[in-house]
Amino acid sequence: MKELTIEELEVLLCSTGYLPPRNDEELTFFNEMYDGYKSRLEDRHVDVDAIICGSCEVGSKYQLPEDSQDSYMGKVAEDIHGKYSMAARNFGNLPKSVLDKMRKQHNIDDENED
Amino acid sequence: MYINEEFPSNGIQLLKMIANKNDDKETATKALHLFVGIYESKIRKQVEIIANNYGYNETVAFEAIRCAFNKVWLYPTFDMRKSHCKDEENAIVVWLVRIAVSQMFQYAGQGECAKIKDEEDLSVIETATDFVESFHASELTAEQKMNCVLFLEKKMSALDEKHRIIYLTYKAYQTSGKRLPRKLLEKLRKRLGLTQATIRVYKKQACEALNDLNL
Repeated sequence: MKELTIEELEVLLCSTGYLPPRNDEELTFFNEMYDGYKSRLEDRHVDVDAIICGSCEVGSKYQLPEDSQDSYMGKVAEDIHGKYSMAARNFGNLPKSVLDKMRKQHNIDDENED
Repeated sequence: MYINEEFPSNGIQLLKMIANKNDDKETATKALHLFVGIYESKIRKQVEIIANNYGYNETVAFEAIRCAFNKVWLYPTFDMRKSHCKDEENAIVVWLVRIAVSQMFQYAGQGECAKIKDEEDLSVIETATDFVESFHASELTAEQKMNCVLFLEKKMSALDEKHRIIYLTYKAYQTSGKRLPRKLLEKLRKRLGLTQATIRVYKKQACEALNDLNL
């Protein structure tokens, strides 16, 4: 593959979870890529009442997190890499449902352009 | 909390109700419950995966999400005109993810959200306006997309964690048309245990490895 231009690099970084997305295209790309990814946060929910009653604090100080990131990080990285590299290492290893979905999306895009 | 079935589920309408909280707190409260119920699951994966790429675990990702909704309650400043999205729902998701990432950069420990100054806020892209003129990801076939991702992964894997975190932190602000705020640079130095001179060298090496010579 030819070298990416800076613009292409930025689009890909914003489309694949390295940088936050900027537009519909980048968000859609991300959602396609991580369609099968299972978040580790699915059972955790924001306490809306705490926000409303103001007990969700807003402070100006900042410091390093006290707990070690390393043990958690390795696990998350493993989860992401396991799912993602399965797709990335070889296109043929993608589950049929994911491939079909991507093709379908691509066909819809084509139709819309016609 | 009980939400009437006739209550709107349109994100923009809900944000307007939240913004009106001083006049009608009950409706605003219901609206925030519904808003979080709708959008929490829509931003979870993004924030978790971005957090991981910056060396943070899912606890930090969760705190960033919580703080993003806290900011929605305090300052519901969403403005469709300032978005690069055409779709309103996508625009809200993009806005929320960027608030969460801004909070993540300021992570101060559990239970505390940062006051984000304008210069540190990624939720409004200021000047990077013509960034996709030459490359539309949606025009690629599935196979081409996968090849691009493979290619990017290979390039990114050449960076070790510190190089990657430094590069991505600078890049997050550059792609929003901003300079990395001094306060965050200080935080980066402390977090990675590096001097400014070393950060400069790492940034240069990362840019060379990725052929990104404009950063």
